[in-house]
Amino acid sequence: MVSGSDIVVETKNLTKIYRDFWGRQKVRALKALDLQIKRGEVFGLLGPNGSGKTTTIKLLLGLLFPTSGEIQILGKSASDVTKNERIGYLPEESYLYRFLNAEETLDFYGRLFNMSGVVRRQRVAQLINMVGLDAARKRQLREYSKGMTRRIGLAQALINDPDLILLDEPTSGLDPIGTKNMKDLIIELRNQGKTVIMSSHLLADVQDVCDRVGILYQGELKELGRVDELLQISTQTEIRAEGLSDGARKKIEQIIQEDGAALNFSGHPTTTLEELFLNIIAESEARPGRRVRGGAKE
Amino acid sequence: MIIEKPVPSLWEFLFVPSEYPISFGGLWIVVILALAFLTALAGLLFSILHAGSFGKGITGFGSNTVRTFADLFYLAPSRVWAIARLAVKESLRRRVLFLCVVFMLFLMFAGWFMNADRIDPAKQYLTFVLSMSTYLILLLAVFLSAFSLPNEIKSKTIFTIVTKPVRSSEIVLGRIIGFTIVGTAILVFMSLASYAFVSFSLQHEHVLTMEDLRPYEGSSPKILDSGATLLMVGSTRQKNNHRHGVEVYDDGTVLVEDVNNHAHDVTVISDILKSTGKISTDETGGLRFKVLPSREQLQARVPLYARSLVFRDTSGTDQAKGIDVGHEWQYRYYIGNFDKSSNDAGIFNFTGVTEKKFSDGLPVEMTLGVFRTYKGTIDKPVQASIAVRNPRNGLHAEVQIFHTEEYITKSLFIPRKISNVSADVVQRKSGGLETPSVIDPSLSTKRDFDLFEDFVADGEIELWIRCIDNQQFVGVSQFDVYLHEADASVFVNFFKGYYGIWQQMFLLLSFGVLFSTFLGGPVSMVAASGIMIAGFCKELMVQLAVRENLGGGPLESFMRMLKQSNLMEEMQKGMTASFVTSADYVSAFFLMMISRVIPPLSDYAYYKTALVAGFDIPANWIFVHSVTTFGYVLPIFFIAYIILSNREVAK
Repeated sequence: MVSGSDIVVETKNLTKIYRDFWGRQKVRALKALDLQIKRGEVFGLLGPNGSGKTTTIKLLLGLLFPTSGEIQILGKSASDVTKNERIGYLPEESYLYRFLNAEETLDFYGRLFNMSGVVRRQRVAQLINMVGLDAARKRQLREYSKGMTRRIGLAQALINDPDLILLDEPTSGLDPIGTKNMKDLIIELRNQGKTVIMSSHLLADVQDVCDRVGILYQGELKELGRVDELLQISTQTEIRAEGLSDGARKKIEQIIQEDGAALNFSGHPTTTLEELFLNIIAESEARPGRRVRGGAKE
Repeated sequence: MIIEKPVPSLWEFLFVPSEYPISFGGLWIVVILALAFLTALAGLLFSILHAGSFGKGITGFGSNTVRTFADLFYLAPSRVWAIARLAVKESLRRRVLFLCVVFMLFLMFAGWFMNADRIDPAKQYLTFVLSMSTYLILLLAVFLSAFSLPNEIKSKTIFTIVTKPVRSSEIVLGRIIGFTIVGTAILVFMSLASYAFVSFSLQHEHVLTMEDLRPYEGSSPKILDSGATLLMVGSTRQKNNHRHGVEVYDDGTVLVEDVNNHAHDVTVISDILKSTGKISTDETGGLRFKVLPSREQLQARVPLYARSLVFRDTSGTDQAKGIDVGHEWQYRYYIGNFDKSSNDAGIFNFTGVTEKKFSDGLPVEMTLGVFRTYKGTIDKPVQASIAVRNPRNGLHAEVQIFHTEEYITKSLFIPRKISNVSADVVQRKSGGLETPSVIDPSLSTKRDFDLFEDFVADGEIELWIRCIDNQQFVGVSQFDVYLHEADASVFVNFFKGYYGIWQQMFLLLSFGVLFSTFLGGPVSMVAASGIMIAGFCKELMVQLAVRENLGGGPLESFMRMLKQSNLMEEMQKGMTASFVTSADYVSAFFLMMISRVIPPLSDYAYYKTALVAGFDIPANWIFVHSVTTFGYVLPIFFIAYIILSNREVAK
């Protein structure tokens, strides 16, 4: 755990400018980022492609060196290798050795943490089970599907039971079930008291799991705050009810009009496509061989 | 074997200055300090430029330096081993073992084109397998090491490595170790395959039947120590361009002459011999012979070189140098002819000549140079003589007159018992002093002598080589004449030879890894290959740097080309000439600096020379070269580590 402080990551005036060989400025990837991330929160970095999300994560990890500004991560400098003892990192795409199989991959990364043989074997078995790759544990990664690669990548990031986990586009390339599992896992990690930093351009993902988000655009931090606060529309009120009769609904609409407020919408809510898809899958698994009709549960 | 310098011991190599005013150990420290200074300067400049202010730059540089050194102490063997294992797996996946197949194919095809019909077939086969192994393994070393890290950076797998608690030092070291393991495995395979190939190719049998033999008709019967009497003489049928003389004795013993460094075991098949244990002259008709495959044809001679060589001039005075017959070979001098009026001789002083080592006598081997002032009968060799002298009392006796053979190792044997020779006492003169100062005239007699009792004093003996043909010259250097002390294991020597190749491989792949920390794959491969070529041409580079060559430096040579003036012509004096000369001094200075740090790959080629020539590779070479190799790899590792740890891998 972080000693003496609840701040896990802190950046001050963090700036990264990409230069070409002659030192000429090419891109200003990140402009004066000030950020504080507290222990135990899930922080989302949000923004369109090329907004500086990945650059930020790479700077935090020491894969890139800042042009100016400071980074404190787990109380250490980003260039300090020892910080990595307690960090897990899932890169944008799982850059793994395609000639190793799942077990060998995790065993290799375990060795990099100087784990003993016993601990390593135990941890490898546990993680393979957790990400659901038991059946493919002896297959080379070159034969893996995108989703499987992503899962072994995640297992790799968790090999050292890290306190701080950085996930770069964790849901990219995953099917809705994979996305759901990933999101469940992130929430599970938060429940274990771990800090998670994730970047994404998929707004729904961020909304579902993140406590706080920072929105980056063209290298600048545009918005920062708690998700529920940011998304709350304080001038509007939503009422949801189950089994309401049409007569009762009319009465409510009448009351709203009497109150002088404007009625924006009244009717049956639609579900999200994601939810629909997940329900269909769940239904199919429960009763195989039947075509499932209707999406949302009545 | 041609060596020009004595093999230094490890101590001498490290601490005793020889060619330069500083010993190699000292030179190493100077180079390391210079490198450290340059690296620090570059780092400091970069740091100041990067930080934008002087103060910040210095503190940044300071903390970075402290971290760099401190990190070295956290180097964990288990992580290094993990990276090394990965490098091995990666190499195997790149099908490097295919190289073994390629090597076998080369051997197969070579088998068609090479044959054992030469005078010394072992040389040809050894040269081939050693060269082939060297080229293939060095190519592999360069390819593997140069592409690995750039590929990881390109495929971004490096991201998952450096975000673990892995030090850059471990990445560099693990890679070097991993590739070394792969290279070593392949080299071991190559050495075993080569050994089998050479032994198999040289192996042959001869035919020997009764038709090849005739009864022994000497005036006196020849009887062995065992009591067996010589019955028949003759020679085997020809095979591989040679035949062996044989002597058949009446107890079934067959003595076979040594030709091309080998002999064969021959057994007699005869019913009569089986029953009576003797072959009689009448019953030889039914004899059959079984000639076994040749015994070992490869050699690993252990030479005992002379401690010193001095030249005795015509007047009988010792000189450090002999007669110079021109710029033929700098280290070899010539001995003029010896007769009543001249005293010319080359005096080799041997130490460590003990009865235990040479109980039967002294096997002397030599490669002499010959310089003829007149052709004479061209196929008649120049004659020389060899004499022994006791360095203490001056007792001197000529033991043999022999024909010189240029380019071929001549073997002589000075027996333990030297019967019926005239000895005299010969004094040596140097610097006005005579040794021995007082001579004992009673020693000058004609009698039987014992080599160790009469000529060896405290393990010391002098061998005098003289040219006895009028107006001809015999050339010698200190390492041209040696005593064949023992024969080492050929098999072990073969591996020592491959150790020479291993060191070259180890050096080159370290360079490959170094370049790959800051260059792309193809560029680091070219750079490592450049080091390889420069390493093999190191002697030439040094020669150019010390301006020993004719025609001057690059600018002067260029001027000469433009003016079409030849190498010997003096440059026209004037502004241009002095400018050109001084510019060439500057380039020579830089060439000198570069040539000093280029690894001496050509030195490792001595292993091949020794192996091909059939000499045991001395332990001192192995020590000295091993230290040299690691002396290079250590700073390479360090520089590679500094570069990698200060590099943005995600860029």
